[in-house]
Amino acid sequence: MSDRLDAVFGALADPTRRTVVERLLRDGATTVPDLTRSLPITRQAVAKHLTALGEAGLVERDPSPSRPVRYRLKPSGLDPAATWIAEAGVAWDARLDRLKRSIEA
Amino acid sequence: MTAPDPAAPPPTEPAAQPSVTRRVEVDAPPEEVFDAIATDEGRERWLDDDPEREIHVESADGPGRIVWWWWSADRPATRVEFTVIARPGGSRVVVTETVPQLPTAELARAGGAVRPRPLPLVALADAFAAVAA
Repeated sequence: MSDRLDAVFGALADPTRRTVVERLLRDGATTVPDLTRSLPITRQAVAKHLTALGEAGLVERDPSPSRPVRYRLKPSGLDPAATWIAEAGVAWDARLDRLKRSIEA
Repeated sequence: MTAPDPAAPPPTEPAAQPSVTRRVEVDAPPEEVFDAIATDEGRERWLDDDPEREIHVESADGPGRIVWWWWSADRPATRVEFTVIARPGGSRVVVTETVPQLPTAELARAGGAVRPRPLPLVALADAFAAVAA
């Protein structure tokens, strides 16, 4: 869990990669050339960002045989991050409740 | 009774770092509350959900603020900031736990020219859920 969480947060720490994710959310599957046209970075840089997002489990290749290759979001990719946010909130609710009771007792 | 901090950015606003903020009102002066947060003896009374977790205090400015980092074998290192504010009859405690963001070599190699609007993680999570549906 920690490794996956680190990978997701590490990948999304980069503003360019967040923009790529935003484009994929907006446009669905898209290609490296399409992303390159909409970002002020090189095709090689776009490809590296997609690789990093793929390694973090956030993006995957569209299995259709179209050329150039299309990339899309992996639906379960952000589960570790969403889970951490939810669990941390619940944990702090409980901890602060215990803090309050321990002091006011 | 704890509640999400109303002063925290709502999830629809851009958030550069994934974080969680909560607050609680305590009927005790800030000095007493700070001791309960900043000392081992105080924490033993309420912070017992993960005894394996290591805490490294980054800064402590009693009685108003303390920041620590903590981690354990199965949890990533995160930063925890407490602010203790005096209020009539007691104190307000605001805690924010933040996942640090990592510098990225890719951005440097790209020239650092791209500064797009960051997406809030919660919104991203919702969007991913919509894709999955």
